[in-house]
Amino acid sequence: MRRAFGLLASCLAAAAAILVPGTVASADVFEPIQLVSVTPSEQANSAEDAVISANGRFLAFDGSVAGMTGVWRRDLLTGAVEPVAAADAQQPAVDAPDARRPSISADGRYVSFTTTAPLDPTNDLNAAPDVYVRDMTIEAGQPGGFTLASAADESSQGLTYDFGGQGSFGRGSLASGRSAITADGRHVVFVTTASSNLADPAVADTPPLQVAVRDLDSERTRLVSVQYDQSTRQMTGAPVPTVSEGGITFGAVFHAGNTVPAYPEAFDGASISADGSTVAWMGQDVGEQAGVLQSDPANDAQYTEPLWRRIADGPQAITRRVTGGSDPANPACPPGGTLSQPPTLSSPCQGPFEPLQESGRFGIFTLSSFEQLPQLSADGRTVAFLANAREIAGGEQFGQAAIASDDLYVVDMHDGLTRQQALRRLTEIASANGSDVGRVAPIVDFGVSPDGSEVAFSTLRTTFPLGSPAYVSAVAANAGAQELFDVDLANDTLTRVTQGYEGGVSEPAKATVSSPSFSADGNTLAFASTAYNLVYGDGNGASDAFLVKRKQFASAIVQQSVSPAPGNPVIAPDWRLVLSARALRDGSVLLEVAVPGAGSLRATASSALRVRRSRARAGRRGHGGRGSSTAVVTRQVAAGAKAVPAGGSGLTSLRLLAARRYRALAARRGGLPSNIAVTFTAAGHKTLHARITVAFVRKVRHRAAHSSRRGPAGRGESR
Amino acid sequence: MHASLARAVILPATTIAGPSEDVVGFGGVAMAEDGTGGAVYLQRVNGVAHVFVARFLEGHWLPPIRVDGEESFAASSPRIGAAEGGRLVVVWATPFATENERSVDELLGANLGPGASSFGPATLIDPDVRDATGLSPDLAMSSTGRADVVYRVVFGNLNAQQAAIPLLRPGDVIEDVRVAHYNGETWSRLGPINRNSGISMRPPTATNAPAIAINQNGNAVVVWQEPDIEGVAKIWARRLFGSSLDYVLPVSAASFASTPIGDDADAPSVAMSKLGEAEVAYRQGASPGSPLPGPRILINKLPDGESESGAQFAGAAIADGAVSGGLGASIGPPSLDIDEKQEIRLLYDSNGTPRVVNGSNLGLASTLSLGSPFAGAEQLSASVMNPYGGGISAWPSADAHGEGVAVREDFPGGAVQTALVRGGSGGPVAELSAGRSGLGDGLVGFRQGPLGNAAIAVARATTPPVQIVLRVPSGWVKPSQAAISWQPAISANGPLRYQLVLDGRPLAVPAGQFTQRLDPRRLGPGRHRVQVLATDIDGQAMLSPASALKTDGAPPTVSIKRTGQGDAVSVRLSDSGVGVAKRSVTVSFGDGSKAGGRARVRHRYAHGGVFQIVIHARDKLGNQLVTHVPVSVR
Repeated sequence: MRRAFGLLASCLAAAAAILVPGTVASADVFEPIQLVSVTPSEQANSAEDAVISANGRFLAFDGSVAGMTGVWRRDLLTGAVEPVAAADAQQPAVDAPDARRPSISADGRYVSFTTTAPLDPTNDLNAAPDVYVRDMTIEAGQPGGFTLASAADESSQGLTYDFGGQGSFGRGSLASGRSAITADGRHVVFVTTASSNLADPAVADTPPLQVAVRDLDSERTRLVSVQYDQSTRQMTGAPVPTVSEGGITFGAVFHAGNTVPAYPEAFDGASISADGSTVAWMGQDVGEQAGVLQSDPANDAQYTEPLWRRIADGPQAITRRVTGGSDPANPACPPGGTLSQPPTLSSPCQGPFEPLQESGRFGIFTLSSFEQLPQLSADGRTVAFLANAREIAGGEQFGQAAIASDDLYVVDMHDGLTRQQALRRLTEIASANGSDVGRVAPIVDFGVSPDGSEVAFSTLRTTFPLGSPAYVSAVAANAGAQELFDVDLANDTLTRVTQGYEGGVSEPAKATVSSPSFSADGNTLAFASTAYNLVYGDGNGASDAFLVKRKQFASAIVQQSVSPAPGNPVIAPDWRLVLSARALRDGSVLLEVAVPGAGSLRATASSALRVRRSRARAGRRGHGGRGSSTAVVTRQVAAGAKAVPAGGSGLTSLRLLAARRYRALAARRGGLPSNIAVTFTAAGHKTLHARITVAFVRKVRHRAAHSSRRGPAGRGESR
Repeated sequence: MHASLARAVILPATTIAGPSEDVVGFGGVAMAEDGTGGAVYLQRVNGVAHVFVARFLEGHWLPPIRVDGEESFAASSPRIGAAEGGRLVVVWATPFATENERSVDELLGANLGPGASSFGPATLIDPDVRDATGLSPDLAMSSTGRADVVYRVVFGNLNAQQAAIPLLRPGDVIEDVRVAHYNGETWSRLGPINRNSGISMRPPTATNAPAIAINQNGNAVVVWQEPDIEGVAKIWARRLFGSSLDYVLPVSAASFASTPIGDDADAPSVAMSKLGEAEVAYRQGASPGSPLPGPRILINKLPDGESESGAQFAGAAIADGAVSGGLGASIGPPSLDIDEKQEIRLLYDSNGTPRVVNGSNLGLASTLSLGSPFAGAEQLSASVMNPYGGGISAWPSADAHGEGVAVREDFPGGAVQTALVRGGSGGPVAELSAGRSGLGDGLVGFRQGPLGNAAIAVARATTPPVQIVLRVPSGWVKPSQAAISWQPAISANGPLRYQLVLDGRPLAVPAGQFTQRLDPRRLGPGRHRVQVLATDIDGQAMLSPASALKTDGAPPTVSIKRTGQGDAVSVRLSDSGVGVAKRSVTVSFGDGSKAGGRARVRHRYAHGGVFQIVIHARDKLGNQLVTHVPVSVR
């Protein structure tokens, strides 16, 4: 059976890389893990809900430091750990031992959290949990140190909650960890868990489970979870009502229990994008909040699905479904469109999932023990969420094993995409055997990098069968502890981040990993884990905050050394002369000489000449006519010299012209035969000699017809 | 006339891929006899590892091309073989199914024909290599395009029969050692070759992987590790005649000094000569009680199959006795090569020192400690021979700038060149591999850099062109007829530039021309030395031996002397080149007398006076002399 690997892109036309000095490349490879929930003197007793500031400088977490519980911030540069809001018996005014779930601004200055402590006693007049923002530049207890975020609109007064005369029982307002505050620290999203005066400051009749955003500068608190009118397709501005069915309260925001959770029970709240433009939450009663089909299962109050609203677009911005079992917003889905059974993606009204009903709950996400809050990129356009409903396109047929296991997805919320087009699956189980945790364990927690290119998640699962993203790390030897993984959406890779410091799996077997968060560049990842072997010396036996950095590789021109190579063959001209000569028709002789190098060339031409002598000079036994005689003597008839420079071709020429007195002889028949002696001298070398016989021949015009163009030629050579 | 011995030069490493987090594996380099070849590596595309090959042609690296273009799933364990003409064969594993929720991989192959620019479609070599754990294929290819691959198949999900096999040692596995043969067109599986499929094997590691060597005839020898009946891992071998398997031969020594060896042998390395002789080197472990003083590299020879002694190995011998450290000595895997003269060269890590063992058909001759010591985590080394003598050695080393690969070239004449080469952004070195041509050129490839920033780099040890064949006129010729021709030299680093060298002076030759007519002006009468200088793209030159060129463009020369009482003359004709054609000689003495037919004539004048002697003569090439010489006689 072929694996259902995802489609892969076509081949890469790779070429040899060119190194650019000074550039830095990041890789899906991580440095050793650092334990960061430590003070300069000791390890924190425990640390959970870790979150790193976008600038990578600060880390906030909740837990216990030196025996004091609360929210803490560590300066990763200096190592200093400061209380954000923590137990302080010495200062009751700032004593907040139950402060939890921090989120942190980009520069680390502002930290939001939830506590029942009235840290702003002027405005916080109840014992209910409320959401605060701490300005870390102002000392706790000083004005401006703590700002109440769960406050009434256009007021600094805290929300008024109506507990129906039953006391607070831990209900009020809650903020999520990691994702409740914007990058500038001036906007906070929170969820109410009690009836409040959120929609109308005058009356505490706004139902619980509402989503709101507080602008700390303008003191405006805006209701985000407002009703949607299916007929007008507009938001009404009214809060989403709650509905009780079978003893379970359903509202705008999903909660896991039958009743609205009481602080400090786990409840995730809502996410706001770093730029403050967008809010997301795991919605219920979806038909009250967003567009649905008439026969849509999403009309059911218990139906659960991630919802998304771009509040930067103003009060009329509609709440959109991130994904789901239907897609009425698809332009191809006609008004009154219906879903077909069984579901088919050919229907334009069909969403990517087949909603399921499990344990009395209904929707895309039905389990309650894991992270349920959608996470946003900094611009709010990328949404990651968990779902255990069947993704129709995946063809997943793992039955109960799939239902029991959450998988991770990301959605592109840019306009113009259908829900099917916008969805991308990041994990898939690999077995129908529900007890095979290495293949079917759920995804537990997750986080999205600010730029939306990375998604980190934790799970016990060790097998990731999707080809896209491709799992590129070594498979853990056994599925005993949750590990942290990172999906690089750009590279389409899935990498295991955590491991024991000795290279094995995380320990102990039931260790958990939670709360992953990224710095702005995606290169630093913070998380919490109960594993005790991620770093050497982790001895508190509790959850700790950790940091791991992506390896940075600086490209550099590498130096190579090669010893001198043996030389090429040495070529030296033979020390010899090669001489050739030819008579020119003007009566001269052109010597062409191949010389072995630079030097001086000298040539002399000698001929046997018939001379007439006077008898007195000729001697008694002379010959010839009366008073004179004819004799044959050898005379130098021509000479020449030339300096031969270095670097030439080795060929040089020298023209010899017979002395004037002998030139006429060259016009005779046979010319003036001569023996030419050539010498070549060069410093440090022996003198070379060559001889050649050639005739000086001058062609007379009327005799030209009988002559060749060239006179007799000769060649000679030194020996 | 053949060229004199070539010299080689090491060139810095070229980074052919990376550094990048997508470079995730290296499968080695290969070089054919003619110097063409390639390097294969794994590079992720959209997160999935795929097989890429950079081809090496005429001294240049061509841009990498993807080999497994049709495959969607992640590739692993690529290997490459090269044959003449740029032919390449690549094998790799890729998953195609799941069985009992475990991946099942298949072994695939693809080939690139001569002149082709892309690999053909993948062909199936083995449909089931389990999950490819410990596959460690070794691919050998002959110059004629035949290839053999040996690989391991480790069984994870055991059937009942396999589950009943007792494990000889804790951690042992059930595995096949398999071989497949490529006849130039198709692959055929020869199946498991290990001796006894009923015993467990040592868990697969990089250093106990099987190895294979092939010669030009397409015959091969495969070696592998397998426990004997006592449970001691030994080295075994089989010959392959094409697609026929010969019987199993023991390679490793069973005893030393009459005492049984009870420690495992591993790291087999095999090389095969053109004549069919095989040499196998391996690492023999030693523990207390061992007859060996410590771990050692042993070497054993399998004579060619045609010889009387070719039925069994000659007997293992310690390759290098000079190893310190006793039982604690650190010995790396050997790398062995053999040339057509059956000389061998073996390189290994001896306590961090690279040691070379040289030998011949007559036995081991010498050992030598090379330069800079090993560095880094791997003990892998690579050694290939120059068929003309010497060879190339490479091993991981380091200098002040960090890790790299030390390359040493030993030249036929005894000279040495060394280098420390690097690729990418530096870092740890892994997966060192070497290949060599029949010309002495070698490629040294490796992966460098940590995972996430790895690069594939290949250094070259090059040789100048060889085998220049000159054609020179055999007899005397006129200078104008002096045309020299030669056959193109063989080189991996072309195109080549040629120069004719006349009497030690280089003369330019137009590109692409293999015939040159010499300038007559440079050719005096007599003998000349003619050579050809071939220069490759790296500037390395090879000068052919001198050939004699005999030219004569000059007519005979004449010498006249008065003899007797001054009343006679002697006319003597001579020629410094081809010689005087005596029959062409005629001499008119000016007194009405003539003579000829000889190179030397005498004439006595009846009376004194001045006479004009006219001489006509030619040499044997037809160079004619006509001269008028006045003489005065008494």
